[in-house]
Amino acid sequence: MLTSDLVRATVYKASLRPSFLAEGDSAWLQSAEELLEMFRRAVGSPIAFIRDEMVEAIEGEDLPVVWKGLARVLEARCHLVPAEKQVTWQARLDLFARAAILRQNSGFDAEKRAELVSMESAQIGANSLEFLEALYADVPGHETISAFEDISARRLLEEYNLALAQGVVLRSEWLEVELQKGSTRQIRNLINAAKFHQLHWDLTADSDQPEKNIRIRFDGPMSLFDSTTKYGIRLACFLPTALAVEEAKISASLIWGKRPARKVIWEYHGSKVPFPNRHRLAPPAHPEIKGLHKLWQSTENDWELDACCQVLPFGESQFWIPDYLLKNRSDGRKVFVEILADWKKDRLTKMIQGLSESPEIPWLLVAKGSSKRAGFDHPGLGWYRSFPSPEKLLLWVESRAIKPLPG
Amino acid sequence: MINAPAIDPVLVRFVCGTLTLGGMGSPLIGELATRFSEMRVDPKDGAWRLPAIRYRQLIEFFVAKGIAFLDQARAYNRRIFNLADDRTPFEHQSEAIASWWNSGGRGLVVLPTGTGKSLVANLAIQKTGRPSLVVCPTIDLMHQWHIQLSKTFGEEVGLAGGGFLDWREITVSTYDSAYLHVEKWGNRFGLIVFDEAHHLPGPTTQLAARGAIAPFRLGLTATPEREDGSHVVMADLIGPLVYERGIHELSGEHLADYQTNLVWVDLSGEERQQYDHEACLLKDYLATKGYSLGSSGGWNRFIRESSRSPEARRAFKSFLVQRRILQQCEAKMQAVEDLLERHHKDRVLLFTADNATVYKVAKRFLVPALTHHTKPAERKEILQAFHDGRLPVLATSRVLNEGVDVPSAGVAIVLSGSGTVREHVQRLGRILRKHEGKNAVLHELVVRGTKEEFVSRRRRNHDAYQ
Repeated sequence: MLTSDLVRATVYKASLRPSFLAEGDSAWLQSAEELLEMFRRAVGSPIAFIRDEMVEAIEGEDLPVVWKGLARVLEARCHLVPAEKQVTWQARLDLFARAAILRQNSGFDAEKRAELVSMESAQIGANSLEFLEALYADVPGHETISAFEDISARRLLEEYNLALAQGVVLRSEWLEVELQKGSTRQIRNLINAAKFHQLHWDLTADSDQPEKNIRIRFDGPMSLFDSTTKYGIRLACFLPTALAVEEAKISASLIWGKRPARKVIWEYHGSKVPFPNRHRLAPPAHPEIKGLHKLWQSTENDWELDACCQVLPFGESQFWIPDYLLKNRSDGRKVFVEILADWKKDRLTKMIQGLSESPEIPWLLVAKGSSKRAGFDHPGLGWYRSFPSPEKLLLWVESRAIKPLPG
Repeated sequence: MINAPAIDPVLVRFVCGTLTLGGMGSPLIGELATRFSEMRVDPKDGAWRLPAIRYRQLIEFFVAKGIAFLDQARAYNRRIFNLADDRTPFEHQSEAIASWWNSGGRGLVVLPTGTGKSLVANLAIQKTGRPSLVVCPTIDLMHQWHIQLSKTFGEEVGLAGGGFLDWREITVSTYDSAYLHVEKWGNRFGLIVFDEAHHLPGPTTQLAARGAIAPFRLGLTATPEREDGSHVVMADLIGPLVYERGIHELSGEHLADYQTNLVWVDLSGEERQQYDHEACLLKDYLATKGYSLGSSGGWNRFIRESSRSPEARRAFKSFLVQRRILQQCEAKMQAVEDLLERHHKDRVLLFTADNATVYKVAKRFLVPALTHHTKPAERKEILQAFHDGRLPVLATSRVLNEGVDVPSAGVAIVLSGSGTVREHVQRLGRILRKHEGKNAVLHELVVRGTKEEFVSRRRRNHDAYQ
């Protein structure tokens, strides 16, 4: 993702337009190709070589922001290894101290310096030039690029656009994903990703047709006071999953600018550019989800575990998207299960209260932690430490599952 | 603390860098909303909230109106701080603290580097008698303050920053840690001292001031103005300018005597040819496009064009090549050689505009480089060795521009830098701390017949250089 200094956007009235790069634009493609060439040529050289190539100023203030942004995307594709010959900082300070003594005696000219360097070089088996190269080889920028994961110019522009969108949401108060015709599987994916990234959200939907017109509003880092940077990065990491949803409308309220900062809205409709290849954006399924499936299959039991794709209205205008639906093969009992890694007490209490008022929903919540530490317990609430074991889950499921109500 | 608990006091609490107000009736909500435009309902929990910075005005408002309130926001008590420092404050320090106190214990004190701003902070802590937080821009400065405050007050001083998170009744923090953790400490201090306060108006750093209730606030700086003009918000975050003294007013008695010296150098024949060639290319490009870099929006347009067009990119390269020639030309290197020879008994700081030149100078003259890449252990050793004279020359770009105490430094050589007055004044400030027998000299190297002449004129536009 791009840091705020690399984010390019224009503001018109109360609306923000990130300056995405059109992938079909020949001028941008040429710029991208030039940069890619530099990175391809730089394999085997110190990363600083690129900075020299980019007219010595990749970290300078003056290089075009787009180039800096594109280079940031490409730097993430470089594998770096430390320089082969390095002088330790203690050794170089010793050298400078000896030079200082000679200087204080006056007449420490270029010739005498060369003599001193030559003596030092011999000690590490290098010539003077190599020694001077190695003198500050431990400083960032001197690492060698051992490999570069090449991509096409078009793909670079796509990745830049994604990094730019991620940079934008770092300034968000909230981010909303609206799904008019989204499939429940897509909603499931979104919720899984949101949980994986430990985001805070609220879900609203039509009570009559909960699978339609769903709005999920995620808290943005600018609405928090605590750990905003970490949370912002988590939201930015989640963004590709949201962008990958077809026909989704994404909007975000942003705190933008400096003097003074003001609220602006960024809106993005899934059917438009700059993400024509949305399917590429969605990260693979999270290992935890697959993990439980695998564990479940290895345990002998009479229960079928399925990823749940239902939006269940409960309590007073609340909606629940459980993680799993467990069905007993013999007697047809079932129970909806949600696994909560990150939870807040007041939210959990509200949820339990709402679900308890909805007898038609058989439910089980499994939360990370312990009842003792959390300070409350409930028969519908199971606790786990690192990963919920299938055996324990089975016990809870048996006690919570009910036969579906007729009709 | 309970004030007039007769009927339904307003409950004031500190929650995550804000104040929540509970138990208010509609008339009072209306009155408060008129008085505090930032007051609003938090849609997450339905609570009325105000930024924590408004704590003092809020309490003063309740007291003035005789409104009962229950203050659960404040998490500190008054206490006495004893100064172990027996130095008698100088006149300007006493005046500064008196002006600040008369302004209600809020405001900005502007004093040149080396004139004892830390003693002003010590006096403010003692005068206020409240747990105090000192916020500074770098980890080096944080450790410097930590040593000074521990010695002065003879008690354990907390640290927040650089891997430490230890809040005590006197604590030193970096600006970064202060804003990142404001929800943890925002109600624990009655006084905040903002060192190098011109850093505070940054969009994120100012959250440290907005998320804290501290009724007493002191800003310390030598250069309050910011190029982006955002220094105006300091009045809200800290308070008004309450005291200011310039370098000229304090030099001699409180600061080392000093002189500034322009060293003119010439490009070699080859360098001049390349410089002129590149200047010509750039000029031609701009002429074709019909704008200049100095015109309104000209620079931004140039940068924008060089992202997309190869011609503009070539012109941009010309600009950077010119800059590199000016920063690293042979005549400047020769001038450094001569100056190091002339000042071979002195402590010398070599300032450049960029890290690449720092490392070039370090390798060429065999002097240590100090940049933001320098690891803490090496940095500590370099500063100690500079102080005790084992490494009397130090090359740096911006990390020593401000704050870090190098009292023995008597000579500054400015190879290159930005055109800002602030940077130049801060660099001069590094060598002005009074030290036995010190006559400070700042040499500024300028390449004749180039745009450096203009940059030099611009950055010397301060009374310290008149």
